[in-house]
Amino acid sequence: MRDTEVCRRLLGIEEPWTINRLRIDTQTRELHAFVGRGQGWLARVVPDQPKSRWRHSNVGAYKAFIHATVTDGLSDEEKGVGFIGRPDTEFTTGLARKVTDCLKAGLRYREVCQLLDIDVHLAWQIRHAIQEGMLGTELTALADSMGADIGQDALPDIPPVSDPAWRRLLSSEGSLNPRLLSLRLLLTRARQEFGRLEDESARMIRINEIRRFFVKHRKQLGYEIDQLQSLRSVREKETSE
Amino acid sequence: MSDTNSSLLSVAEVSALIGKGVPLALAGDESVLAALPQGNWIAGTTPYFMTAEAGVCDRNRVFAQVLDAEQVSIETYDMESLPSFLEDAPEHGYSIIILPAGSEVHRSYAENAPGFPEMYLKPVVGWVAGMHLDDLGATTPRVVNGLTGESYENQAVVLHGSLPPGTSAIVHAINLFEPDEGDDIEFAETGFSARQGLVNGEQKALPEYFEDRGVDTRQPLLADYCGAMVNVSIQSVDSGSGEVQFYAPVFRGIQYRVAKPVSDYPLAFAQAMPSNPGRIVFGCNCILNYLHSGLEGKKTPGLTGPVTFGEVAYQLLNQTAVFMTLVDD
Repeated sequence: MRDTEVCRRLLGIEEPWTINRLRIDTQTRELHAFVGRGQGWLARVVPDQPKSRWRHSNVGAYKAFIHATVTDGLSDEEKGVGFIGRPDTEFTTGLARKVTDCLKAGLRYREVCQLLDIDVHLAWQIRHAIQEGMLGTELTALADSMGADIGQDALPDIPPVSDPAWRRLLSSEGSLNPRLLSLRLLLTRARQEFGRLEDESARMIRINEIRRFFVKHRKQLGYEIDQLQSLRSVREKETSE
Repeated sequence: MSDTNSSLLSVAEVSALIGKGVPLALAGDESVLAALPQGNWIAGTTPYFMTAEAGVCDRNRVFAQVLDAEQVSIETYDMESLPSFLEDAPEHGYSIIILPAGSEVHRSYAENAPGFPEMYLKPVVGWVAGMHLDDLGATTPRVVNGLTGESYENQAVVLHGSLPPGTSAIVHAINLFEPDEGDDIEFAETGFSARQGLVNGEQKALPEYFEDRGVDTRQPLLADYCGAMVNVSIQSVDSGSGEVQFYAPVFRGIQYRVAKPVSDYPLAFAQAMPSNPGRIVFGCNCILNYLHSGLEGKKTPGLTGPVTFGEVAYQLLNQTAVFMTLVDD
């Protein structure tokens, strides 16, 4: 059996989805599966077509990530499969379900995060999604206990995707003075595209992407993260007025 | 680079480094690259280099940049696979790409790289391979995959290096040009050439506009990317065909201005280069800077590397010096 077929089964990926490419990073212990609904020409990368990346359940000691372009042509049922996620999340629906299953079985949220190898940024995203009823309104009560269990000290200084700071940043309303070349270029491209995008899913992918940049380069971005806080507070001030 | 990790070496000296398994980014004339043994290296053709002593043209030696990486993989990408090259890059590391000048992959990278998956999220630097200017039209720029020893004129070669936890790669670009106080120019389409431009909102024929303004084509067009000045160099202005050719694409939706001239490049470079840039693992500078600023025999203090036919700091740049540092988090 081919490697891609073995991984397809381990990751629970169901046809007509296939794994077009696999990358295993032995240093960071990550498995990246690039999936699509087709092979060959149909699976090629189309520039400017936004691709999402979601964290999925581990495969052995390896963190698994699914990369895919989810087009609007898919039905809600097709988009609801466990091995992909929503455009505004960084985790698959399957991983979120696994978290709630563990919580319902009596594990504390901190223990669930350790068990599933989930970092604090992702933990807060999953909690937020559960709180908003992504996995059903009957589970929203779980979110409060999850927050208390992570602890306020762990609240990331990088806003969640739902925070209006990101839209302000990408719609050019919010000024940011980045120092890193990579962020300057990324922000320019993202702002250019954001204004043209009519599809909300595509916009969420772009917000997710720039947020991922901040999470990934957090240690080099203290100055820029401080500026992000001011974008959040401007909004809060406006709301209170 | 300013340290001993980069230098112009004989074939025997580079072969010895390759024999030790050291990962290398190399540059040299096609004939000397062909004489190297297989190993952990990538290369592109150019006989021009900025060394610690001065800018030189040397067809007999190889410019070697010794890279720092825990693990290395070397891949070759054609037109179909190029868009996903950063998906092969490690989550924590960097990529160095070399593209042959004038090839389809060069053009594709220049026009499409900003939209490639993972672009700007993973550090990528590199350069466009060229040739001796006396050989224009007689030889073709090439890149070499050192693992196999194969060379290509229409594929990109990439070295993906992973870094240990606690160390990150940061990409820098030094652009000495500043925009003039003149007109804003926009283009209707992304591309390496244009006939028309929107000049302060008014449609104008570009060759006539450049000639009327007396634009010195040694000055690039400049665009402001959230504070980063990105150059597009002018290759030719042809009133006969009504077309202006560029060395990199102009992008639709971006505002450009003509750059002011730089009077003393080495002096301005010394002032722009950070005094303590950190651990530099890769550097390069543009052939147009080398030519227009007369860098042969002159130094660019703090930065050495191949002199290139285009620079990559994520996307393709012109008339820019690029370098990558490793920093402790």
